[in-house]
Amino acid sequence: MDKNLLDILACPVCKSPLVYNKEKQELVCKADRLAYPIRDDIPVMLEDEARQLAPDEEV
Amino acid sequence: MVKKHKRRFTRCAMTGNIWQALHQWYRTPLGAQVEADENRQMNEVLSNLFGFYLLFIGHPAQSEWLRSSRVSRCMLMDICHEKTELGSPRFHGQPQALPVASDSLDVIVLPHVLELSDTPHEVLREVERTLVPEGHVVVLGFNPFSWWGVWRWLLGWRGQLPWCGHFISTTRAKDWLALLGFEIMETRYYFYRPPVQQEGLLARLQFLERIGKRYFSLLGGGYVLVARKRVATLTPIRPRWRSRRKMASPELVKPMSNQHKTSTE
Repeated sequence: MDKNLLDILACPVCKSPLVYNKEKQELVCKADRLAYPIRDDIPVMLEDEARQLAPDEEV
Repeated sequence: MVKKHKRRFTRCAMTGNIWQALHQWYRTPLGAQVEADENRQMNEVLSNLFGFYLLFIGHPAQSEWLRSSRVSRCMLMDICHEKTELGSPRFHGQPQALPVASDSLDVIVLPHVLELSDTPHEVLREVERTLVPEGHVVVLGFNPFSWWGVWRWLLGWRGQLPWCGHFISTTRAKDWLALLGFEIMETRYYFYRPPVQQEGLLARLQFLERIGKRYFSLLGGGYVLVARKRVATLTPIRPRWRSRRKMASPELVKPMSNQHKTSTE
């Protein structure tokens, strides 16, 4: 994924910064506990496509 | 009970992605001519805008428009969600919920996003949030006070693109931008021919471009608005605890020029 994108991308719901999970290829918003997928190196920043993190899942 | 009525801005009847349909329209003879004109306009406009980050909201194929841009990092927000092999850094998103940090972008380009969006006010508010102070927004739109407005009036009921969109006049767009604290820097108009699909007719009406620019420049089919985000910052004023130093009284100071004169005399 492009490094410059990581600098400016934020959660589309709450606009808070995101954490890049390299293993799962996801961008995680800690505040909303949503994980946005990265498909073919393209982040999909859509609320409908995001995965809700399980309550016991650590970020 | 009062029924809440949500105003719909567009009259598009299609159920799929409206932006993909707009991209298909750009492949028609008329669309190709408009795209060529828009490309030319964007080359001229973007060559005067500087910064670190540029965000283009549209189809990945339109990223060619950014060729003349002097901004070091151009990014693309793909609102069509299509699978295309293009090198520019991009991400999927929705214009009314920009997944971008506040005060981070220097230039945002909105090609026909406002008129096809159901919530153009939301889009502009997001643009205002993400732009840095003194950042620029470039808005491309179809002018309702032109042949395009007449065609929309005649064909809008069919629900086909681009006639189903809600064409926003420049006055209205400027008003919205001014309300959000933008200063309009430049307004350009382009495409003075009637929007017909016949390639031969479009070529024969080429002379209208020259006449239009000269005699009825405000009636162009499309417009480009360049606006700058203005932010009024507070100037901190320190309390004045001590009175200002008094200037030396005029009796103590002798004018130097006169002294010089007397010495030479």
